[in-house]
Amino acid sequence: MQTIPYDVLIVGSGASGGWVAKEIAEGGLSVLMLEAGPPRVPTRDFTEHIWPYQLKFRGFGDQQRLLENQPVQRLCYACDDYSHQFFVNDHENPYTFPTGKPFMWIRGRQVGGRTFCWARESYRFSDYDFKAASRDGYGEDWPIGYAELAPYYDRVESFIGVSGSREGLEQFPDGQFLPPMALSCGALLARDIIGQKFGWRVMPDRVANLTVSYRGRPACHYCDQCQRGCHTASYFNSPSVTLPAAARTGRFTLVSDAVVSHVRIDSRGHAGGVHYIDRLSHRHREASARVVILAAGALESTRILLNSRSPLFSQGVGNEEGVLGHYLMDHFTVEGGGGFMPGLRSSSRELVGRPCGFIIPNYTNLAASRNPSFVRGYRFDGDGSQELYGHAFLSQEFGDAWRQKVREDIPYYFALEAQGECLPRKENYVTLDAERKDKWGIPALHIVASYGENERAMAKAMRQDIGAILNELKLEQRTPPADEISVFGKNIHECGTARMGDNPKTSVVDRNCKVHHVPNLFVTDGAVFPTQSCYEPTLTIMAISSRAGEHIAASFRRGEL
Amino acid sequence: MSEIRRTPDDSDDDLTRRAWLLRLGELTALAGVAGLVPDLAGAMTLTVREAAAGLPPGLYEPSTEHLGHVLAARDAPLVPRDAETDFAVPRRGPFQPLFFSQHELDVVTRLVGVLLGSVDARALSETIAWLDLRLQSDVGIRRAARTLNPSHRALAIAYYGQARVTELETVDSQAIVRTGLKLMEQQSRERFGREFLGLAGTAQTDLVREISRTPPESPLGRCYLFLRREAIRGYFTSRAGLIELDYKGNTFHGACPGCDSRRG
Repeated sequence: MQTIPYDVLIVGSGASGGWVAKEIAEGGLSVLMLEAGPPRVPTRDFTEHIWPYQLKFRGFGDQQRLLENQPVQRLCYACDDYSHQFFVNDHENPYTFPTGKPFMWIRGRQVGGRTFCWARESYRFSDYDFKAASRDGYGEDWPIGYAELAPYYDRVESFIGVSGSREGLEQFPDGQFLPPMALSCGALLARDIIGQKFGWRVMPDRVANLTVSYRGRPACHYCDQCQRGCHTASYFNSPSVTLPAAARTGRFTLVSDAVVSHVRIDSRGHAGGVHYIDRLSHRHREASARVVILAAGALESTRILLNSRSPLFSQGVGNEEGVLGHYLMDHFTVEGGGGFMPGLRSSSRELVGRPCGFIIPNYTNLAASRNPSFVRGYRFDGDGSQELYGHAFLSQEFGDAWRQKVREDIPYYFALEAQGECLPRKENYVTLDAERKDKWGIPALHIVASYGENERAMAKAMRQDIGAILNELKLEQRTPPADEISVFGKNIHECGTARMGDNPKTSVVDRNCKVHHVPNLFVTDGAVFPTQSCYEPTLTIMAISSRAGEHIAASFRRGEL
Repeated sequence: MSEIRRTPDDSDDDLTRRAWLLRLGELTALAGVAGLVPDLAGAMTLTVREAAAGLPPGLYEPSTEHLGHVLAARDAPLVPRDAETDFAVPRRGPFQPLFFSQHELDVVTRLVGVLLGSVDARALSETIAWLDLRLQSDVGIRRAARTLNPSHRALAIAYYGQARVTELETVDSQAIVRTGLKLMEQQSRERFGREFLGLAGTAQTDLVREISRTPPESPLGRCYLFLRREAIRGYFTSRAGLIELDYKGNTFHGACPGCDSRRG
């Protein structure tokens, strides 16, 4: 057994953990961070700029090994021949779901968590999101609003670097942006047509990639291989941005390969630290601190809370009212819509490497328009690009003439999809599986989640809009959007299960991310989201983590923790 | 709120875009953009800062050292020690097929040569090696697919659809190719009186053209489509194939590619 007198213990080193560590260490407190996975070594683990012919499986992946070791992770677009090392082994890290309700849980356990592989889209929520329940009557508002979080959005964007264009849309707040990226030719064409026909705004994605050198990090060099790791740290990941800031204070200790099983609760109901298992030796250890913060990712943090059972908290800490584990959300998408843009067929190659596409923000259920079929809203994203060699498959020809045609007659494909907000429903929940355990003997999660009538009604509208846009663009060989909604979890935006609120009977943490009834235990990741908007959650996770970190440091210095 | 170009609290040692380019090396940037292959691995050793000095393992700071190396070494094998990545290991000695018999190898090499036309010999060799590996892997892939646990299988069906999952579990590509190659030889004998490898180049091309018109669901058609598909994947992922496509990605661009830079 090991006792370490740290001020604060943080579980998880990803987007949330990085920000609370930075805020708290810079606030003068000592920090111990436990990360379940190993440290990554850029020269060994990054595959940026590797060519397919430098790989045994030429970029297509060792399918047998993926099926055997990563049967879930392989479904993620980023878990491929180049990047599978950033994803977990599914047999070591099992979870279960009931028949008929498949759930796709994409996980990365390493120093930096999933920030190596995230898509970097960074959008602010607005009060249309934070106060959605007051507008449409469904569910609960966030206890905080945009005005309270805006300074932390400013802080996060100013530190990590987010490129984007200022649009002046109330439902899609502007931020502290680096210059935006360029749009593709297909996106420019779409922007004009969509703007004229529908009145919707097409703009470059707002992404945490540097378009100028910034705070000691070089600008993006546009290789578009972010999910393989970035030697120049030109997009945000915690190991190159927030965690070094914490480390430079001299008050930050990082222990990797530490798989946390539960929070230790003392007889007073205070968190005394955590119990963890060494990933490699399987030895059991304990770590102590005056404050414990869970920032392991929405489902991992909730799993730890559920597994933190004690005489005072027999159903897990934070679960006195049976709310813990409930109100799981993940965005759903309607995908597959697209076609060729005949006007952009070309005989010459364009430069490739812009690490973003375009976005059309939500225009549904705002002040001026209410859709009678569903509440909340959706956004579109997509892009256009030249085919690399996909068109080679379509021809029946062969030989030199065929290759010349492949080289000199290059089609241009345009793709569009929509992503919608998932309502927080109590019947979407996680609990501990009664039988399955992970490699370290920790109970696995049982995840019960499905989309409901609101999502299906929204998906119908999404398909209609995508069809209308594709029609206006006069695409050739058009593919309609899929009839099926994406698998729950596929968007990797899982949120909720330990939601934030002022009422301890209907929420798990308070407005400062502190677990109700436990004075020194906090959750700062996506688990605390009461609603999830239709936009990517990571920027908001970082903003609430920054806010919570500042609050914890200040409270600690005042002797309140 | 306004766009940030420089902020007052930017650190003094912040790199300007120009300095960054200069430090990385003009030749690397130009070579990358032009798709050339510089022999500059040794020269690309500039480091923006000492890598992660004093930082805990797993944390890092921006470095051009490895970036320069991989940019410059696009034609060289890269096998970092203990990497989890399946890097291609340079072959020593003649190619030893994992699946094809020597006769099959000769036939497939010629068939793919007809399909691809006049291509770089190394790229053709890589393409054949890819076909061989792909087929050799087939049994293990199918076995792994058939032994997925029920929940992983259900998830795969939800994600890909039943048809693709069933295909992965049941399609025997080895049998398809072996059967198809025999049928091709049979058709060659019936049509030209000798086996494929004994035909003149024009007759081989004529035979391949005939086969390409075979119904895709027929045994010969399935073999042809498999070999053609994997030959396309193998060739256009070779260095020569990517250069032929004039691919302008996976490199260092000095500015964000967009519509203005469409013509390169």
